[in-house]
Amino acid sequence: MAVLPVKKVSITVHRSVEEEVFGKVQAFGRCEVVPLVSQGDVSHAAARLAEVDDTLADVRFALRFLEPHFSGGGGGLALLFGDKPQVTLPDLAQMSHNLGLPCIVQDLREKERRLNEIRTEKSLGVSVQNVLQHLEGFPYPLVLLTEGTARVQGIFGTVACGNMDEAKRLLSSALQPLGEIFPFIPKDPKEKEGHIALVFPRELYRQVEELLAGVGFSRTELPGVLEDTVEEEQRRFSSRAVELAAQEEALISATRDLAARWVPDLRHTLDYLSVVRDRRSTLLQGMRTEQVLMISLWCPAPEVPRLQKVLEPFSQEIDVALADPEEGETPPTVFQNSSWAEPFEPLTKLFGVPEYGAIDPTALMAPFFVLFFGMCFGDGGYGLVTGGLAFYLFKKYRMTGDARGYVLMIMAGSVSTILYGALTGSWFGDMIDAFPFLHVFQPLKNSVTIMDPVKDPMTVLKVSLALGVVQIFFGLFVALYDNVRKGSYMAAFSDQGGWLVFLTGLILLGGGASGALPAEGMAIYQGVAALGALILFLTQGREKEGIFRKALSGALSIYSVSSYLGDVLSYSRLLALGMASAAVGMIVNMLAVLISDVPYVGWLLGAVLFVGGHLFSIAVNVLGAFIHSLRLQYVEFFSKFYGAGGRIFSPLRYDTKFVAIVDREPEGAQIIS
Amino acid sequence: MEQITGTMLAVLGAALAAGWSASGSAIGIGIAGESGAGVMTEDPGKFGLVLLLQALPGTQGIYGLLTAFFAIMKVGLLGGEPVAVSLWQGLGILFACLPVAIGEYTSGIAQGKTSAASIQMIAKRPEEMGKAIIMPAMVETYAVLSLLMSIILLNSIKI
Repeated sequence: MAVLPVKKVSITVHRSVEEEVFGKVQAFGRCEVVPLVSQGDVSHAAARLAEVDDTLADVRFALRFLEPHFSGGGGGLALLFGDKPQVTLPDLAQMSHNLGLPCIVQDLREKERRLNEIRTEKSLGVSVQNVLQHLEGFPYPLVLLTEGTARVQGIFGTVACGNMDEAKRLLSSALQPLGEIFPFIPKDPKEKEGHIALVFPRELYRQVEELLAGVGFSRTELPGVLEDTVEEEQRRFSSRAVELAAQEEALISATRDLAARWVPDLRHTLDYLSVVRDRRSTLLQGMRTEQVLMISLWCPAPEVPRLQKVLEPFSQEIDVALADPEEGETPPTVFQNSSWAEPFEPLTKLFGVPEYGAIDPTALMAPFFVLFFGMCFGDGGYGLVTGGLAFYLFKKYRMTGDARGYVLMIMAGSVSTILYGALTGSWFGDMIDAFPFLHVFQPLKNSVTIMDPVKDPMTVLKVSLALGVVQIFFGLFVALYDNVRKGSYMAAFSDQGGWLVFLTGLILLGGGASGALPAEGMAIYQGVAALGALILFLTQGREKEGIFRKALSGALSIYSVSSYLGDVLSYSRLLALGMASAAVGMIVNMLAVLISDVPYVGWLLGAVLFVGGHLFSIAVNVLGAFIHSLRLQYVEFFSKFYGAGGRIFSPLRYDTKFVAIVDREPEGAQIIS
Repeated sequence: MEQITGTMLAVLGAALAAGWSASGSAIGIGIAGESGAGVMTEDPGKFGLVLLLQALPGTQGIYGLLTAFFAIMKVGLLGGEPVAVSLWQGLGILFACLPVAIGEYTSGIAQGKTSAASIQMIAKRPEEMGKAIIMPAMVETYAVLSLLMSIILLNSIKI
């Protein structure tokens, strides 16, 4: 229930073996480095880190370039579930060294450069083709417009269509008889601009320029490469475009081959280098002298002996000192749960990890979560489907981490769903009652059914609210235990004790008034409620100053009873969601029965509707069931005793994305080249 | 005549419950979807998370459907012979449908807005998915309470 105690392990190591020692610590994988601003001369360690960073940058570049072209099986689903190929560190290192990374990277850089060149030239070609389109019909070689000759020069540009006639008139009168004007009026009447090409003697340039400025002419610079006639240039650029497209295609196909060849190895190298980088960056986080390095680690107390064993071979070169966390230090939180509660840790992490030394709520909430999930999902058939799917995935993949937790949670939740479905007689909604050929199962189904949320919601509502009361009381007891454990007896007595007595009294009163409890006990019930209220009134203002303020706070605190009422009512969602599953299933069955009356194809339509409808219902309801059973833990349960605020333990270890690093080659495992 | 009026009032109740709840869900999911599409422009890889959050305001429509279903089942319109429903009973069923009709419509929209905000949140901090889901789920409480009241009311009308 509590988190693991940790020890501060200070290691002083001779610099000759520092990398080796921390390689062992990393392989051990259960120590978190206490961050420290590095002191002393770190230039050597920094250079070692920079070296691996450079290589990492190369690998990242190669992967960034190749991955878009990689279509090989990345084992997407397997990776998602944390099922990675297993490999030993020496094998991985060997593979990385034999990869010939510099050659690969150089080749890829060359390919990238060439691709960029081709793409630039292609886009230039397209823009030139666009310009040439406007010049179709220009009779002279284009060199006249780009460079001109010794005596003649040309200009090309755009003019608003409205000014075209005016421009033509002005220019022809000015250039006659030495120049020529070629107006290109756009074919599309929606175009607002037309093009004009002019050829004229050089000495008229000034005059032409002034005239053009007057009609709003804007010059278009033509690329210097244009020399021949428009048709020839167009032909040249078209064939060049085809050539470039072929080159690009060839390059991309070559890249695709390279990707298929190298991406898996590069990914493994990325993992290897990340491991090395983690280790080397650790070496920067310590105090250094000329001879030794001193680094502090947080290690879970029960694992310290194992750590000492790992470090034993270096007894000549290192010194290890143990200490408990001091006041003001923030040790990390290491979960300590038995194997049945461990899969639920991701839920606690989602909310926030407990503070060091505080109560870990994982095991406390897990049974409730599973029960509530079952009630919200509420259908035996649906439970079989999700449970079966989760079980299949669990068997197929070697899952690790949070993904494993979620799949196991769904499995546990499905079992509880099947049980709850059996108790409420819901198997794919009312399938057994709806389809006549399933009526043989009715006696079996009815023999275990004890309540039906659709026909008798009130009973299920009472059960739901009762479970709410149970969980809230349990939460208060946990808080009470926590306070006693910490020695805050006053808080335990007043904050939890007062409420426990008061709420018990109120429930007894309610029971008495509704006839569920003997009415003769009313006086006792009133007495219990009054005692609880009195405790609250006298204690809840204890931190305020002055008798009046104390009394006011005490009296006001009793109004918090409304928040307890709200908490309990919140559990009515157990009824609502369970009923929603059952009723949606029922509607699907009803529609399937109705549609199966269609002649000839009715049975097929009915079957399709049955499968599709229930799959939809499963998808919607499993989401709702998960979120709402989680919400009841977070909002109603955790609020009684849990405050998160801790920091998750993040040890120095093999933190990899694509491979799992193991101590020994597993038998029959594929060797990674 | 009176019996027909009674049955029709019950049908009106069912229609309001289903129609307004569906509208609430539709608007809510729409709001969340707009936000989600925006986030996915930047990062299409968030589709899974976004879809999850967008789907949250969908339950209101289901609660409405559920209530409508209960209401018409009560007056015998779903299979079997129609039951004789007096004017007052019909009116009672209509009123009993109102918590769902109002509550689901409003909470569907509100939950859609919260989901949209949560989607924005996971755009920057995908690791906070848990918190992002819990906030829209807070809104859902009131959808559940509306449903609860409608069911209790429907249950208490004796036919």
